Amino acid sequence: MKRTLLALDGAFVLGLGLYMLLLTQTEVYTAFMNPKFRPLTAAAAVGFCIVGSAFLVRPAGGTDILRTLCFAILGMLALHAGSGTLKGSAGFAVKPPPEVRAVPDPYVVRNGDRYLKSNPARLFLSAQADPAALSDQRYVTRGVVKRSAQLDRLGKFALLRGNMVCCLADAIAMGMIVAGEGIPAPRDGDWIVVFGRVQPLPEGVPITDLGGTAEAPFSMVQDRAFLAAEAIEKMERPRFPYVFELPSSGKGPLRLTGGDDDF
Amino acid sequence: MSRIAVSIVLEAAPFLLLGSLLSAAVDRYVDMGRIASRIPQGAIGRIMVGLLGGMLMPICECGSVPLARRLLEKGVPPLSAVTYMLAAPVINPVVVLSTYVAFSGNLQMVAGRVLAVAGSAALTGWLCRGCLRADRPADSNRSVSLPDLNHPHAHGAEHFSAGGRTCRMVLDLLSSGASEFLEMGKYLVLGALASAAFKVFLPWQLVQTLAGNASLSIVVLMILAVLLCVCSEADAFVAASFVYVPPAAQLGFMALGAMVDLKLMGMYFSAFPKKMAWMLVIVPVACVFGFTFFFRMVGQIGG
Repeated sequence: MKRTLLALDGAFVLGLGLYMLLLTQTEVYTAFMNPKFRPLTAAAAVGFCIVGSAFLVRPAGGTDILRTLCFAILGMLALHAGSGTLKGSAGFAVKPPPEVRAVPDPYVVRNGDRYLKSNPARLFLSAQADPAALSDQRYVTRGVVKRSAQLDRLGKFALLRGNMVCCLADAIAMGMIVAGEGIPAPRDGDWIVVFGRVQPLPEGVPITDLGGTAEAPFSMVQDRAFLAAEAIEKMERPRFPYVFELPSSGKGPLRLTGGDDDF
Repeated sequence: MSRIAVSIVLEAAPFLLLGSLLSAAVDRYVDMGRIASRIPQGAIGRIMVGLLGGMLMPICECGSVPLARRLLEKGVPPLSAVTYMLAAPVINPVVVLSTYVAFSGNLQMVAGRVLAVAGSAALTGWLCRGCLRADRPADSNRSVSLPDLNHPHAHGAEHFSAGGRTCRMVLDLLSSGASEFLEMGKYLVLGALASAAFKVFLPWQLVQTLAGNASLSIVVLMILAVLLCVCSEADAFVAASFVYVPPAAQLGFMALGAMVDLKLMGMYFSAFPKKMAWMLVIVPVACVFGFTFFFRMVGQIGG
């Protein structure tokens, strides 16, 4: 019994290493972690494979059924988590090499006007740094609609995107208040594309009744600026609903950092 | 829920493995008698050793527990080992820099975080002295009564050549590291599960409303820090995202989360005597609350 439990423990450590290694080689990684941590996870995965193998060859310490059970549960969770929030069957496909990935055009042209692509979380952070600096540019951004009693009273709605700072556990839905003259408010939970300009709000209106979205249980919306919508288009939920913005993102120039899904 | 739990494990596991391997290396290869004999006898000196160790040896909170446990077992005074364990995840250059970046160069937040954690760590270390059998002289060998996690091998008399001995030593070190990881890892898994459940089932709208209340925000953010189990490398970015709460509450979130959270509580109760584990939970909570309250008062006076 003791040998079996120790062998299982070693197999779980080795299995954890192999699972982490597989994740780092696939797109699925971004469903759990910010991709900037990929090298760290890969290095740790190799470490787990080595110590797991060493433990299988020469087990140390005593046995503990609870710990074996815990790691068995972890294995089941990993299987159940699958490819996470990534849509489509290519989730575990190896990510394409850099030379194959097309550099996305940072602009969308609509009715002769150029709109800079930016995601709602980055607009939030940029507006936080300097709300006035964004107003000389047209933006196109995509996100999920969130309505609340407070926003309905103001005739506005929120456009949010799940922002993963480090891992999925710390994801926060961040975004902008949207208002548009003559544009009907979309339904709560709809994914939409908004074309418009960012305008500073003369007086901050903290919105405290937003709640969460399907992607993140906690939301925050910018109260120093809003997005004045010129047009709204409904869209399918993107293949990958999260973005990876750090608070420092708002200080830099607005640019695409995560490929075609990143606006 | 499974995705969130897996992501917490993926985030913390590399640091726990590093701490477990360091702990195994300390156990086998570091002559703590010589090191411990150089640790000062005075309280201030011992605290400074713990803080300096934390600055020079960056390690995440999950990794610091097995290492501190091993240091205590080897005779390092609790005042140094506990101060190191609680302070290392925050006062190291990596986390100081990430706090600086997350708060866009706000030195008040960086200094506030370092002071809150260093102060809480030192006080907790000082109070933990009585929880172990004794605050033993620094040059003692095996010392304190701690739950035995890692039984040594019992492979009988084995004879190896020099190369074989090296190979066996490396294998033993790696295997001990794995054993230590498994022991602490079970609390990581349980903590991740509990944290994921809280994340999914908490009434977030109520939390957001309470966090927006100036007088409740510090307590709410401190409770969130314990429940969410965010790694100390990343929690500054999460705290900075709570833009509607006062800076004192953001500070409380960052300072407490690195010392007390669900997974760490499991590790404390597994690695240390019960009385000491309670101290490791209660004292940092009280210290951080006091410090952040003071920080808020000073902010109000200043601003």
